[in-house]
Amino acid sequence: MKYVKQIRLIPTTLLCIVTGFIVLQFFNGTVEQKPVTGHMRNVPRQVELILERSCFNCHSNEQQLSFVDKIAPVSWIVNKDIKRAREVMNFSEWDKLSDAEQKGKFYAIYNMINVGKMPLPSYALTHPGSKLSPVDVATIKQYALSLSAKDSFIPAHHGPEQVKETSPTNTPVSPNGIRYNADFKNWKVIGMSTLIDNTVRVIYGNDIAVRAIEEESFHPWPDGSAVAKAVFKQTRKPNGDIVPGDFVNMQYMVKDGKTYTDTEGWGFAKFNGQELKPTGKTALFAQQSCISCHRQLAEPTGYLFNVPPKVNSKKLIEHYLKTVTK
Amino acid sequence: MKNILSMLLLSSLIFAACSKGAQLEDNGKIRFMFEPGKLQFISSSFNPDRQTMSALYGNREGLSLLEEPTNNQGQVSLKLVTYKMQEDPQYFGSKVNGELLRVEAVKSGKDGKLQYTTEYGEIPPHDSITQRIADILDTDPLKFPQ
Repeated sequence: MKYVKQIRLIPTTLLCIVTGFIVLQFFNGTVEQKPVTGHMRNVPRQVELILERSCFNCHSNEQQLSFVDKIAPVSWIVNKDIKRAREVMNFSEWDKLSDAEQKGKFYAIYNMINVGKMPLPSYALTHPGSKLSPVDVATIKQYALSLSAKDSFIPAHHGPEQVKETSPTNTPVSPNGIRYNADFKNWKVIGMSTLIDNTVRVIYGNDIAVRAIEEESFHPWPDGSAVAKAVFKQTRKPNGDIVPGDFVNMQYMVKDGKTYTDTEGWGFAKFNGQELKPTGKTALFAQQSCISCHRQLAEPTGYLFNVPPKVNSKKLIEHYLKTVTK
Repeated sequence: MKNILSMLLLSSLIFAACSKGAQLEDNGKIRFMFEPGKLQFISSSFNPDRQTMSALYGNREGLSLLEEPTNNQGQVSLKLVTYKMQEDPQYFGSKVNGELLRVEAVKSGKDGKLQYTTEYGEIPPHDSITQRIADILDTDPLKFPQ
């Protein structure tokens, strides 16, 4: 008798599920339709095919979604992913990026796929065709390297400094409220780097950030930590040294876990050129162009790149410090 | 029971201590940030042939000397800190400063002439002291928007 009652409930339950499913479709959104303004140019067809197959369904305005992708509640997740993906990188609006940005984005693409962060594992699971083979990854890497090979160094300045310095009348402020802070010159240099986009970078950390590195206490970084990265073009000297040339931009990361809740507690700011023009039209720029790489590639160091690597012999460094403090 | 609890507690403490130690250093390797004392960071450079990356620090007199080579007044103090250049473990295409190779110092002697010493490491092979001083003095300080 008990089982008969349960069996009678099955059709009712199924009816409820089907009804619920149908009702959900009334709340089904669609992906916002946007025009194609410009694709990548002068890219090998082989590279284009890989990107179209594995990336375009989210990072473009040219989705080719499957039937399942368009049905609620799956469509809700898909639409949200597409919206976010377009904010980070949009292959249909590639022409809106400067040459340097295009190159930077392409390195980011390689870094993401090289560590298996893209395509998103959950997406690749439901879209097996998007998976990248080792050959695909090698093809992308080869193209990224070719971008660097096309560059030429800027000849060294001779004689008086040729860079005309202008003075911004007011302190520039990023859309998220972070101000250009010239005090970074008094912070400690925590590292130096160079990128194949032909820039030289110097990274400064304030006292809180430096202490956090010394104490290996950056999971998470303490509030108040601040890091500034000065970016310059490369200049080659006759002796083969490559030195900072013209100023490109200043980048800041400021830790405030309560304020920057959408970007892992880090506030980002970038001030470009001699005018120190802030990057971004709204405070959302960090979600759109910064945190994605930091989140995926720098999680082990608290979402901050350029933490000094552990490569120095403790014994030798301690011996050196003893000799210089004598 | 009491013994078991004591052993568990002891094991936890040892494990916690080891974990902390492992975080600060891996196989005797540590992170290093040069402490310049009263010197200011002046500029950086890297050399793809030698696979090195350097940072130059100096005092006010040292900075003046770099800006105007005839301005050799006061107690000049410059330090060139050179590291091995290595791949950035977190980002393809980026190279960062790695292991410390040497710290060279150029300072005014009692006679006002510049003297060269190595505080750490050795002078690069095939380089003379004269060449090292010339290379250090041939540094242009970073130019930031004012």
